[in-house]
Amino acid sequence: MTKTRYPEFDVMREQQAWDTHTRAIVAKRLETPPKSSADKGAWREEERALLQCVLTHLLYEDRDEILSFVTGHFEQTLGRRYGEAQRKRSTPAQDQLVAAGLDALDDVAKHRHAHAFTACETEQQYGILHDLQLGRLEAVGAMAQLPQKELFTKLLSLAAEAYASHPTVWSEMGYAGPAYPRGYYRIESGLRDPWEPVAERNEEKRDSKNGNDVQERGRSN
Amino acid sequence: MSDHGDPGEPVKHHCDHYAGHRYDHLKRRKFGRSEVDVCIVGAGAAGGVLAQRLAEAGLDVVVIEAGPYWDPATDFASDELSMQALGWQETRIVGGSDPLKMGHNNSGRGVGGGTVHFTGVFLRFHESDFQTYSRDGVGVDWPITYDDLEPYYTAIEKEIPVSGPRFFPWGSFHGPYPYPERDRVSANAQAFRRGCEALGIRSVVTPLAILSAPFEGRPPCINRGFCNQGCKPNSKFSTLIHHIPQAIRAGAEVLSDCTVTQVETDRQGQVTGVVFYHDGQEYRQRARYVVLSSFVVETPRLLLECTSSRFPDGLANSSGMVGKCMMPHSSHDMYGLFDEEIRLYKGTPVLATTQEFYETDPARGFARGYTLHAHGSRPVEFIGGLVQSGIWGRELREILMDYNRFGRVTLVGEVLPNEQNCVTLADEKDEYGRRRAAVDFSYSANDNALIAHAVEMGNRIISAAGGTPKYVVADTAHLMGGCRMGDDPETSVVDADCKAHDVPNLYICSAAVFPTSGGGNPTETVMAVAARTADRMLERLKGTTTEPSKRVAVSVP
Repeated sequence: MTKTRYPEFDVMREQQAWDTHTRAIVAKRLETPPKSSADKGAWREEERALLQCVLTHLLYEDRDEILSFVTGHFEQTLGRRYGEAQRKRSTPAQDQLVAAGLDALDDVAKHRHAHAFTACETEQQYGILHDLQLGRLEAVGAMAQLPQKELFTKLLSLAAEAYASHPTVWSEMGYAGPAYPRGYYRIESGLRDPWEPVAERNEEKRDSKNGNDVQERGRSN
Repeated sequence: MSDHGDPGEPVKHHCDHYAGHRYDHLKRRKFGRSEVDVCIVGAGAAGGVLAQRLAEAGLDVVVIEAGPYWDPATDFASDELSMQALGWQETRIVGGSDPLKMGHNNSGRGVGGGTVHFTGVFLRFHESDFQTYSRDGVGVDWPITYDDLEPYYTAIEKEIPVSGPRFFPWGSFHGPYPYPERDRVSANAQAFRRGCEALGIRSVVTPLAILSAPFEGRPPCINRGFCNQGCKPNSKFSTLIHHIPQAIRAGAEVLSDCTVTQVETDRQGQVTGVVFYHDGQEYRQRARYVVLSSFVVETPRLLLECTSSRFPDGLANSSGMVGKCMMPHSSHDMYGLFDEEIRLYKGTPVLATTQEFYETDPARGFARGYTLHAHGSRPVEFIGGLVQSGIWGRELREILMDYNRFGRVTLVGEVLPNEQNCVTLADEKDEYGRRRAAVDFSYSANDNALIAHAVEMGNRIISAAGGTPKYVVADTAHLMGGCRMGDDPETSVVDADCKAHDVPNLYICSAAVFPTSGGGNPTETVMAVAARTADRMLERLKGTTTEPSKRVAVSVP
């Protein structure tokens, strides 16, 4: 089930109720193409295409306007001066890690399937990323020098924070968005403020198939 | 300020602030040519309280802060991504078997420090927290007791003022709090309390440094939910909006966007002031006393960098303990799926709490204990927990579409001090040529047993509330230690008054001095220690004159 429970909801309909600073920041994410990626221009078109292809798998998402925002977030984050909060010893700085990592994915794709990553079959691409997460890729080409799990974690975390910041995704999650200056008033169980999303009524009853099995996972490091 | 989507020019902040004056340059410094009584490095929870107390007592005080002087009205947005800049983003090299997530997770940057982006949870430590060794045979005892801090806890709670329950069941303080508890709580907090009640576990509406009624022009909370992104209405306390403005009114000068790179000493081994950088330019501030309120990572980093023939292993480090016994709290998140909507985005993030498992219970098989909170979450934090657990692709998308049906319980668990967990200097250098901080951390067997117990308890609460436990995300929160206080100069860095054992006019005052972590949120204890330190410094300074020959007086007993 990857469909929204709130097909009628658009969080941007409420933007006039937000403070202007927040509104400007959020509205800009809907611009296509985002201005930010245009003026940085540090990335080659092929790099952008390869990243976007990786993102379709990481985020299970194929909408261009969302993916180009996420790609823009990569360019902006990796292009700025200040740091990345934390980095493990022997892991390259994030801009080098991602740039080298994208090249390395191509090297692995050519080694495994005799094609560039973007030219591989969907299943083949997925298989490469699956093995990257587990640190099981062949140490060929640029991949020989890279910490695979760190690369996967960096790609996924940068992708995820941007994805969950896109207003279209907010609407689909049923997140009612920024609320200053008005605030939230009906916060208790079963209550909602008038501008909050309502789940579609005739939605099929979806129950967790997995029942009680708790999935405990450590960090992927 | 982050440039994420900000349509205009990057925000330009003033860097020099004193009563009646604000400048975007350092050409008109109030104390630029003089030796001040006290120079405080860091304008966070501790630095703010110290500056206010010392300036109001009539001392000449300069506070130097690496980050900007935020303006809540124009700098803060109701947006997670763009507000990551409130954290200390500079790269730290992390290692150990449980490498820490830094930045916004545990350290603040800018005037107000961590109080700008903390959740506002305001808890006292318990009596046992100060005596873990003598009571439980683990950790070390503090050189001060709960009774030493009690008057400062009370004063700080009144000053902010804290909202909380009429009766608080655990520890030595049972309420009432100065302001009434928050009268509406979120669906997530309701579910938490329902689950606790079904299991016979006592719970309360959380004591918070967030207003439940108006105070001095600040409005009560509107449940906007962005405590971690900076409070726009100023309903949540921070030293940015409370202590620092009061310090400035009392005569203090605040220098922001200024990074201290060196503490200077003379031949007698006394501190004479600090060197700092602004816009690539080097400056100095001379001072009779220097207080490092620069938290758990940057304080050891600075001390370890300040080597000389007199201090070959770094300033104030004859014990070798600078940087050692650094502790986070274990802070695993337990997510449960409910049939009904919980909507984790609504309301103050933490509105319900239990400390039923705070004290040591030998039957559990580990020492010390923990606090559990009902803890809300907005989309970026929510997805961050999922991807940290290795979830991606279709499964990630599916969980996001169920966001509104998830509830969450968060652990704040005690982590025992261990010398292997430490802040050191990495080989790699930053843009100023300074060696980066390296932060190594691994949990002990006791820590892991505590976590396992807490995770099971969190999941039982979720189940008892009618939810289905689904995901456990390993995480940490807060940092303590690295320059611990103690009576013995061979095993600690500062004494009970936060004065460095090795340097008579250097103080270290922040969570860095905690000998143990406690099992609850640390901010109130940081501020109580700072208020006590201010009192002790004032007592000591009373007996001195400004003549250099008499500058250093003996410590007040």
